[in-house]
Amino acid sequence: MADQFEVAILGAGPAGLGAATSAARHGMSHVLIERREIGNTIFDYQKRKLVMAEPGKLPLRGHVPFDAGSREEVLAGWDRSISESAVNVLKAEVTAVKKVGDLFEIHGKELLCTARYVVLGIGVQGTPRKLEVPGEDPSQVAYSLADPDDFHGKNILVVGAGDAAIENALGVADNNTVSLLNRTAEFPRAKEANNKKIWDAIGSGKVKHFINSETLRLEPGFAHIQTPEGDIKIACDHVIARLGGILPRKFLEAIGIKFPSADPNAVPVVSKRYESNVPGLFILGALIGYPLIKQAINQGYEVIEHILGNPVEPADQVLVDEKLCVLPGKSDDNLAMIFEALPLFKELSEPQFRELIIDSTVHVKKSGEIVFERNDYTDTFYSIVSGSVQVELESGHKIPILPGNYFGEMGLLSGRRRAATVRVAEDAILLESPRKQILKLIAAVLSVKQQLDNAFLQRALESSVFPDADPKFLTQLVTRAQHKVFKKDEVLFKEGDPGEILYVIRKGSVKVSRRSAAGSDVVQTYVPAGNVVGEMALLNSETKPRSATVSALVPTEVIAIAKPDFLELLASNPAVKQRFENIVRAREVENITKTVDTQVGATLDFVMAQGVTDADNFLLIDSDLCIGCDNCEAACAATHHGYSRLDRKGGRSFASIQIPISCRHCENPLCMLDCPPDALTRQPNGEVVIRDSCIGCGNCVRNCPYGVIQMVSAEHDEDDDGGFSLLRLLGLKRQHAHKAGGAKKAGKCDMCAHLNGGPACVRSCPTGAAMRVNPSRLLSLLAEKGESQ
Amino acid sequence: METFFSHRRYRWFWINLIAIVILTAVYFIDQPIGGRSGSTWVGYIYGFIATAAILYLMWFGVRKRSYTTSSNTLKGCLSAHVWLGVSMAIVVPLHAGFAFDWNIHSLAYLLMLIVVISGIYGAVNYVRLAPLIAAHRGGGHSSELLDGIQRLSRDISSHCKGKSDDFLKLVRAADFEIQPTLWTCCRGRLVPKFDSSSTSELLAKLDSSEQGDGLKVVSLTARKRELGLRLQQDVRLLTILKLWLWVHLPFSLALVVCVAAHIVIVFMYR
Repeated sequence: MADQFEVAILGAGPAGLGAATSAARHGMSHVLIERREIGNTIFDYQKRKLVMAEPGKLPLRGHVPFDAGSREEVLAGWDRSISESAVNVLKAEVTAVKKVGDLFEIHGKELLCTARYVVLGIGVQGTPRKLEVPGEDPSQVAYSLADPDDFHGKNILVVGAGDAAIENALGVADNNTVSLLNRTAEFPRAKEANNKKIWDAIGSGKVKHFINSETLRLEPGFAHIQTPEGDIKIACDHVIARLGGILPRKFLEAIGIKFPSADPNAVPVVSKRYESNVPGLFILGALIGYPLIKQAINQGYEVIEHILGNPVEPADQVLVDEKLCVLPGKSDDNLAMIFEALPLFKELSEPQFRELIIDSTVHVKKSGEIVFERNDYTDTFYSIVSGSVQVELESGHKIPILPGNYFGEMGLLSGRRRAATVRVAEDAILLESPRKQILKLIAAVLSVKQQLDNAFLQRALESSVFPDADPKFLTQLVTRAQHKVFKKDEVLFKEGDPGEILYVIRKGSVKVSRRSAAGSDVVQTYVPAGNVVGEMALLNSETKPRSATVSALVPTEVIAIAKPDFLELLASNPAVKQRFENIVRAREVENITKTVDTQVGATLDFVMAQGVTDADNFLLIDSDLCIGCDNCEAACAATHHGYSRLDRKGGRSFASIQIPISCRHCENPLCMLDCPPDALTRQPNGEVVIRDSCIGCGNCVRNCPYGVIQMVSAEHDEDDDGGFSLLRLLGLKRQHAHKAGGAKKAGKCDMCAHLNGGPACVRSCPTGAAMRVNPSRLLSLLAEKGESQ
Repeated sequence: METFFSHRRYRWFWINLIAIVILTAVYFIDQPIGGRSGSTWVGYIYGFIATAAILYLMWFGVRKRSYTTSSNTLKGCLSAHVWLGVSMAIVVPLHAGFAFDWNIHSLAYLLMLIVVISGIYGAVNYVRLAPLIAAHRGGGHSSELLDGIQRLSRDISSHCKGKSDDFLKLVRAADFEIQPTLWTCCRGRLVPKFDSSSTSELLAKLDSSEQGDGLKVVSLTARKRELGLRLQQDVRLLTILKLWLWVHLPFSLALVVCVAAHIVIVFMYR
C-alpha cells in the first residue's frame, strides 16, 4: 500500500519549495516529488550566474530564502531550507496523476503515493521548445548552457530574445564570437537589467544582433538565416536555442485540467488561490504564466496557507490595491469587474491579469476630457472598462468606441504617431497599459495577438475605404485576411498585372509608381502604414489590370484580402458596396486626369531614396530660394556651442530640393537602438533628443544611416549663448568649436528645444529657403512646385 | 513661391507705400513761410524719421547674427529692411524740399542712393539667381566640378610623359588653367577662349604614332573645358550674388558718418 499524504507537491522548483517548506513547518503530512535536482530552475543556469530577484517591489513570503546572488549561493540557501524545515523529498518521475474519489493517485513506474491535495509546480523547463530547422544536429544545437567556460574561440549563434537567451549570449561572449538571433527588434520579455546589459553588449560590438530574423537551416560550421536585408550564411559552430518551454499540455489534460483555447501558448485557468478546474489540484509558477522565481515561491506559500484554511491574500495584493485605489469599493470586486469588462484579456490567467493591472494605470475620466491628441508620440494602449470614447479622425469623421473595446493599438503595432485624437464621450474608466506589457502579452497569448491584429486591420479599412461600414462586415472581412511580408524594394504588384488582392499596410511603407508616356516608371507618391493599396482592382467582377506599380520602401508587413472573399462579402452589404464604388470611382477619375509628371516623379524618387519617408521632421532647402549664405549653419553653430549640427553642402540635392545632413527625427530611430544609458529618447512632440546621460560610446553615430550625429566636445563656453555679441559681430570672438580636451559626447539637431521660436536654422534663413517639413508636407510642396512650373 | 519681397502678402511693401503716401500728402499740404526745406517743422520731422530709419536699417547687420531671437524670422526682417530702404529714397528728398547742391548734405543723399540702388540690385539678384544656380548645378556642388577638373588635369599630364615637342605644343594649345581672379570671376572668364583651328592644325602635324594619344588628350581637354565652363557660370553667379555687398556695406557706413556730419553742421553752424 502506497503512502497517503495530505498534500503531494510535484516539482522541487521555487513554487514546490515554497509549498513544501510551508507544509513541513505547519506539520502537514506532505511529499515533494522531483525527478532531477532540487531547484532545477536555477540548477540548470550557467555556473556562477547572477540570479536576479525581480520584481523588486514584490515582498517575499514563506520559508525559502531568496535574494539576488550567484547561482551557487541561492542553491545552497534552498538546500539549507529543505533540511531546516525537514521537507520529505521523494526522488521519482511522475508519469500520471489520477483523481479517484477524494484522493489523487500519483503514478510513476508504480503507484508512488496518494494525496488529498496536489500542488503542480513542474514548470516548463523540462520541455524546451525546439528549433526544428533542416540540418539540425544534436551535437551542434543545445537547449541549455551549463558552463560558459566549455566554449572558447567558437562561433556561437544564440537564438531567442528572453532572459535565458540574453544571459547565455552574455555568458559566452567573453571568449567567443556570438550572434544573437531575435525574431523581433526588441527584448520585451526580458528583465530590465538584462535589457540594459544586452544593449550594452550589442552596442560595444561584443554581441552581433540580428533583428527580425529567423533560422532557416544549419550545416556543420554554418547557419543560414533570414534577415530583413535578405538571406545570409554565417559561421556557426554551436547553436544555443533558448526559445522558452512548452507547456506539458498532454500531461495536464490527462489529469482533467481544462485549457481556454487550442492556442499552444494558452495556460490553464486558475482561481485567485491557484486552484484549477479539478478541485484540490493547484497549479503554480510558469505553468500558469508566472515566470519569476519570487512569484513562484510566494504562490507555494499562499497555496498551503489556503489549504489549511488560513486567511491569506496574494503577495501582490498591496500592489493591486494601490493601482485600483482610484475606484470606489473593494479592490477585489473592482479587479473582477475590470476582468469581466475586457474580453481582449479573457484568456489571461488571473495571475497574468493581476500583473497587467500592476503595470498599468487606471484612469477615471469625465465626458469631454481628451485622452490623447492626434500626432502625440505616446505609445500606451488603452482599454475601456466602462463609459465610451470617440476617435476623432483628421477627416472629421468620428468613430465611437464602446466599453470592452480598446484603442491606441495603431501606435502600438506600427510605431507611428497617434493617428487621431481620442476624447471621452461618456464618463469612463480607462486602463492604460505600457507598450512593453502589451507586447509581452502579444508574444505570450495568441488570442491577444489575433484580436489586436484584427482590430488594427478593421480600423485601417474603416478609416481608408469603408467609412461607416457595419462592424460585422469588417469583422468578416478581416477573418479571411492573410498576413504577408515584403522585403525592401520587393514589388507587391506591377502596373498591368491582373488585380486580385487588396493590401492593408500594417508596418513599413510602399511607393506607388506609374508608367509615363515615355515608358519609364515614375514615382507618384508613397503610402505609409495604416493605409490601403490595390483597392481599385477589386471593384468589378471582371479582372482589371493594376493602374500602378507598388513596391516596398522598407521591409513591410501587409495584410492581403483576396478578391473572391471581398466580393462575396460585398454582395451581401449593398450599402457598403455603393459607398465603396463611389470612393473607387473618384480615384479612377483622378488617375485618368492626372498625367504622369516625370519631373515631380524623379524628385520624389530622389527624396525617397534619401529615406525621408521614415523621417518625422527633416530639414529641407528649397534651392530656388537658397542664396548659399550659410546663415543656417552659422545659426546652428551659434546656438549649439560652436558646433553646427547641420551640413548644408554635405547633403544631397536634386532638381530644386536639397536635403542637408541634419537629424530627421525618424519614425524608427536606429540611433536609439543601442544606447547603453538610454540617453536617446523621443519627446512627446516627436523629437529625438540626446540627454545629458550620454556616455560618449558613439553607437548612435555608427547606427545613424544618415550621418547626422557627431561626437562633440562636452566642454564648451557657457557664456556663449548664441545671443548678440559685438565681438562676434566684428569677427573678434572665436567660436569654441575646436577647443581641445574634454570628453566627447554625441551631438545632433535638437530642434532648438531651448529656444522659444523653434529651430534657429529655419528662423535665420533670410530668404525662407530652409524649412522643417514632414513627408506629407514635402509631397504637397512638390506638387505646388510642379504646378507653378 | 513666396520670396522676401512678397513676405506675408507684401506686408512691408504696403506699410511703406501707405507711409510714403501720407508723408507726400503732408508735404504738399504744408505751406511754410520761406518755402519747403529741411529746416521747417515738417522738414525736421522727416529728417528725424529718416535718421531713425537709417539706424534701424543698419541694425539689420546685428539682427542677422542674433540667432537666438525668437520674436520674428530673419526673412521678415529682410523684407522690412528692403522696403524701408527703398522708401528712404523718397522720404529724404521730401525732407530736403528737393534742394540739392554740391555740399555734404547732398553727398549724404548721394551715398544713400548708392546704398539703396546696390541693395535693390542685390535683392533682385537674390531672387532671380537662386533658381538659376540650382538649375545650373543640377544637384551637384561646385566643389564636385573642381574635383572633376583636377582629375582630368592629372589624366592629361599622364598622357604627356615621353611625348614629342609637337605633342606638348598641342596640349598647351588645347589645355587651359583656371584663372580665378576677381576680374575673371565677375566677367565669367575663368576659362580662356579655345582656338579650335590651331588645335586641329597641331593635331594634323603630329607624327602618326602620336595621333591616337593626341586625339585622346584633345577629347580630355574638351571634357575639362565643359566642366570649366559650368564652373565658370557657377562662380559668376555666386560672385554676382556676393559682390554687391562690397558696395552696399562700405557705403552704408560712409552714409552714417555723412549723416552724422550733416546733423552736426545743420545744428551747430547754421
